[in-house]
Amino acid sequence: MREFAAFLLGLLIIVGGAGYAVAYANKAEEVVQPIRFPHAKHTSLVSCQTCHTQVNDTPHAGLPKIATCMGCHQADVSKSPEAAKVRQYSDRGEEVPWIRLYELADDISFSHRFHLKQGLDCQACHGAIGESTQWNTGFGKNGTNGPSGRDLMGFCLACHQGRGAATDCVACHK
Amino acid sequence: MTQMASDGEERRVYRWGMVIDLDKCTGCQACVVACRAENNIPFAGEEQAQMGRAIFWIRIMPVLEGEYPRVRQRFIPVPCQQCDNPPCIKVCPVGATYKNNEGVVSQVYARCIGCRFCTVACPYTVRNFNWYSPQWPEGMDRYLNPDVPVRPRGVVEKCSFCSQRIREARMRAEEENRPVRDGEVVPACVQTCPADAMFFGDLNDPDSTVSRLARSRRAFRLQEELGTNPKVIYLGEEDWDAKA
Repeated sequence: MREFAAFLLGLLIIVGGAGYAVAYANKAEEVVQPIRFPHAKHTSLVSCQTCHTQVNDTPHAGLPKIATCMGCHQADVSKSPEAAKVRQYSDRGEEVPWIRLYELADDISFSHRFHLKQGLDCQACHGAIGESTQWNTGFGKNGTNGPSGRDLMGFCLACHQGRGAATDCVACHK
Repeated sequence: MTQMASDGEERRVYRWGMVIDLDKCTGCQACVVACRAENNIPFAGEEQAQMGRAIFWIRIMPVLEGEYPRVRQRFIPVPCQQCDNPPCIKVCPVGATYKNNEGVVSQVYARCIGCRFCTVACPYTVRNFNWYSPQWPEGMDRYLNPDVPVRPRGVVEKCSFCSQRIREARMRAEEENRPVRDGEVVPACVQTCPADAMFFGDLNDPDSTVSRLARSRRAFRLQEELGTNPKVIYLGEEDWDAKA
């Protein structure tokens, strides 16, 4: 009886743990943006830099400010109810609380400007995010379609080694 | 000096070095303060400092000569000597410290296990251990340098030759497709020295300020007999090292 109870307890821990791990992993991947934003619709009309305005000039690409969105969405350019939300945010005088998909660790020194000047395009790291038709379907936190958060350094190093770029620790790590 | 990269492009290889003119140094400690501000060095507090636990990436070593009333006080600023043959690296059991291709001895905080072998092995005693989590007086934590990480408790740290400033200058030069200019990399201590007693630059470039000064007849290095081959070069009219 006692062995059976111990067995049941063990089983509960293993199954429960696995279930929790799966649930947690899925939760970490799923990102719901405040506006169902289809990248593909936009990249067919404008370049990445049109909205990620700082990418050529600063280390950070930047998430679009509401004023940038309103540059086009002032008029009812799209009949989508999601696009109407842009004007609602603007009317309230709020910024859209976009959720950042790509995050680097605090001790990494990375410059978008520098990498673009080396001739890389956005897709080299961000994959096919520009082609997403749904609101980030398949694009989780730290991009399932770009560098993975789990082996980000491996992703960077593969490119650095291939191109003969710096592979010294302090070239990127603070 | 150049090195062939894998894409066939020739790339300049730097060998960073520092020159400190002891005949100009007044021992004012400005370099020490600038270094602390630049590199987010925490305060130890009076009690811990008395136990020798205060962290300094550069310190002023006072040298007192003679007997009262005929005494002479002299000063030697001592940052990490950035040895070409560093004893600290040899004793690290986890590969947390290494010399990079530009000759800078770097510390990988995330790998350091805090055994302090390196601290003991260093003949210049320029390595410091974080005995406690870093602390700053209230409000000062808002003035931390975002380009330098805050080190956690239990790791060793040391002068990095302001590697964040080297990185910035190198990236700027690469963006503009040119080598880093002489005097473009300026560590915090060199920048702040009011006596202009400190110089920084590329020892591989024979025309750089540091190379030129290193050829001076006044040039010497600390504990040269150890064979550590430091890249911090001192200038002094007299035979300082023998008397110190």
